Amino acid sequence: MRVSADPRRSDRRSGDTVAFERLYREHAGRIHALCLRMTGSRAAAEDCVQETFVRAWQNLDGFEGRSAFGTWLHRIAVNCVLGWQRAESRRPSGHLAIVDPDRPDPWGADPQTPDTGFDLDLERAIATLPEGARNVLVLHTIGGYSHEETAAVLGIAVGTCKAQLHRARRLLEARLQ
Amino acid sequence: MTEHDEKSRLLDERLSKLPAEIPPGRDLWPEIAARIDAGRRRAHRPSRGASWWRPVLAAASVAVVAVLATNLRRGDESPQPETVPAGPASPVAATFGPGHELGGGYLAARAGLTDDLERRLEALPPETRETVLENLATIRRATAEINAALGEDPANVLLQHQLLAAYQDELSVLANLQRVTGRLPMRNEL
Repeated sequence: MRVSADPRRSDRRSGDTVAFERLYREHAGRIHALCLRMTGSRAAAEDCVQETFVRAWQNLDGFEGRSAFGTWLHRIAVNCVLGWQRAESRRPSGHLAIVDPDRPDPWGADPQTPDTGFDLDLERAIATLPEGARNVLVLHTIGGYSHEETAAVLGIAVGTCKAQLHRARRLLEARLQ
Repeated sequence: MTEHDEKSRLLDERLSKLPAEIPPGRDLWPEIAARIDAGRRRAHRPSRGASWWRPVLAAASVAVVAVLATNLRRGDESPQPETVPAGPASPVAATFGPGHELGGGYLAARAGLTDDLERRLEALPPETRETVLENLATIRRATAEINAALGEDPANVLLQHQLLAAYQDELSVLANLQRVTGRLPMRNEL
């Protein structure tokens, strides 16, 4: 049985990161999965995971325990990814190219990626979806958000959210044929 | 069941089997702990408080655009230009934090805009030129500060984004300056 760490036992002011490290160990896999699927880039996903936990640490005082810590953390991660996506979209192509060698295929060969339990064809197809459709698919279908929650997080209308999901599914079906 | 329904069902089945957790390829905790630690050290350093450059940068960009726009409206009423000290207008080396180089496209665009910068500044009325120089200096001080912060915390995505924004602000100011001074007579044309 895994014992969950209590986030409120990570005393930010006294600098106790021991309990916070336990929280990282407990939640890193789920947060990384979300970031990897939403960014489609291994390097960007790692940046967003780091940013998520740093922001969580900085705002730990504001976590009141009304929702599960994992849910709170998930929300922070989504905001980090959306911030990254906005920055990427503002970046003029060819102007400020930061080398991202694994961008073409975040699911490419990696000795540390487990080779079992992964539907790589599907993961790769998700990574190639347009950003709007991918965000909705990842949050709604994989992350378990409702359409209303997904729309609120992404700042879009519920109708747009449903349309993006329909588009994502249609594209996935075509790409997986 | 139609063929489409069957495809849809199969897709649902595959999506539902995707793992909820994918561990990162490496342990990210040491870097997170280092950033937390660096943040704590910065918090205890009173002279370098919160990111002062964010509001200043925004204000600088707005001020420069406003001043240039005013100058453009004034047109021929502008007084004769005076000599400008070269220091703050000189381009500074651009990087994107340790370990990253700026793209060639950006560097070429920047080089094109800073080319003949002194001459373009001389075409501006003194008070306008002073404001533009002050704002360019503010942006470049911010750039240097963010670069220094990135030196302590190279993986900080937020700092990287702020640095990117600072460079883009500088580029906008230079582009506006080129656009505006292109419509004004140069000193050697008067």
